[in-house]
Amino acid sequence: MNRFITLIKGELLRLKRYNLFAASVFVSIMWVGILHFIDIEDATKIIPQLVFIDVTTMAMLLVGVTFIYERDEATIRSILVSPISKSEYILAKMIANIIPSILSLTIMYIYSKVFKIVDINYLILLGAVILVAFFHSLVGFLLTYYSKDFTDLVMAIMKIFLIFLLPVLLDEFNIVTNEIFRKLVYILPTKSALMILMGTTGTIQSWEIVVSIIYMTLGSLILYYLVWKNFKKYSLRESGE
Amino acid sequence: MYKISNLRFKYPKNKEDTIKDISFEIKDGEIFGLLGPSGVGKSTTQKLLIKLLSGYSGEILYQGKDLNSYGNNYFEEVGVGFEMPVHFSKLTAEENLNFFKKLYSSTANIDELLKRVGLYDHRNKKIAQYSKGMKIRLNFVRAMLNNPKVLFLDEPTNGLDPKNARIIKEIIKEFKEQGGTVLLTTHLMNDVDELCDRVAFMAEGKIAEISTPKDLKLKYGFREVDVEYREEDRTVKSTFSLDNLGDNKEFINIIKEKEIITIHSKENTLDDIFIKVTGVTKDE
Repeated sequence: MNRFITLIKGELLRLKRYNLFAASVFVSIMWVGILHFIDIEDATKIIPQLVFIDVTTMAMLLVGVTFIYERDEATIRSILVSPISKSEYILAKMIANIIPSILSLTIMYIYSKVFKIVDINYLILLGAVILVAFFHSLVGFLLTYYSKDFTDLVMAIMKIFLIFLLPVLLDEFNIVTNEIFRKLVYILPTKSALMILMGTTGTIQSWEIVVSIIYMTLGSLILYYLVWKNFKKYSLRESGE
Repeated sequence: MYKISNLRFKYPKNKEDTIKDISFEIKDGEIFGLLGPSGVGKSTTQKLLIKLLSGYSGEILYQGKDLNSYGNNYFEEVGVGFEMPVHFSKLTAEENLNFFKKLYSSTANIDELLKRVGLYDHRNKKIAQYSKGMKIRLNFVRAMLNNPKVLFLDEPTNGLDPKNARIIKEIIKEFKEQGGTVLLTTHLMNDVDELCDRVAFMAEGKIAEISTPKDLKLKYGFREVDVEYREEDRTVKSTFSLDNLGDNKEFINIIKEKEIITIHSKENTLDDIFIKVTGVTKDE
């Protein structure tokens, strides 16, 4: 357990030193800026929507960037010859990288509580954020396996955004109202992620939330297995092996 | 300590085996040199022994047990010094070492190690500010961090000035004197000569030669002596067999009568043996 805590603390220190925490806080302030300037009093609905964009993209990006740094600096080798397991390493990285998402949620929630109206149970939304961030951190991990460098990773995240996130946002903000499109969007795991987050506002039916949680949980388990199974193979790929 | 039998390994994308049926032993408390030009499988062999690679055929025994039967606790006993820098560049040396230190149940005195390699006064600098030599020395400290029983060192003195290289070599010798076992991979034959009890030369994925440095020098050397002397304002060079040298009248005559400039026995250096055994120059 001590090793696991050391790994998490190490990740958090590196998030700070590599200015990734600062970048995350900057993005949170940008969300607060949006909340401040849009002309609505009740922020209950928009908070989960903004959290959705933040959690999905930042979770992928932070895990991906920290892993690529470790691969480029070959520190991953040093970690791999330490008495820790693959699971400890992967879970520690994911837990540490979920913290900026929690921070982002908290900043937005506190702002809205003070300056707007918000009717969401923070703790339930926090649970939803953790599940969604967990899933997308694993996606971030897998993306790094197939990315040679940071540019490759950003391109991969852009593709994920266009294929998995944009359709959900077009549907959510009623920009595309075609019925077939709206039904197809339900296939995407990101739609489940949004429904879990929106479920905290009371606008989603209970069965839809349950199905979405099952979808996210099963998806996370499958992704975790893939990340775990291929970890050593891809963590050493900078040496061309 | 290690017994490697009929080891074979192929990278998934390669057609040919990188390691082609090698067998050797690393004895308890010895410094074993694994030598050879780049790309012959030294690093791959080392990676198999430190479990960075898996999926080999053959057998690797560590302390009499199959290496695969060891879990993560294997790394409590093993220290690995990589050739390339393996530290977080935006953290200080102390932060780096403290992070890794906490992953082990037993740790060495880090301050003492840092003092010995001359990094103690620089421990609060970020690694990004370190020179190449400082990073190499820090790599060495990282390898020694957990009081290992076995050290795997890849070019531990390459890129160091003679003074710092001497310090690292002294620490390696002390480690051995205290019962530690070392697998050393290097291109620097002076280090091999000075440190290694036994060496294995690798060529094309196989072990081409394995013995003590002294025996190899005898095996590959010439039993001859070169004498350079002055004769009528010019330098003359003669070669004599070492066998019955004391009875060689011409040699005795030169020693007695001429002004000797140089005199050298023609034993091979490890550099020469490296080239002969592996069939390539060291830089290849």
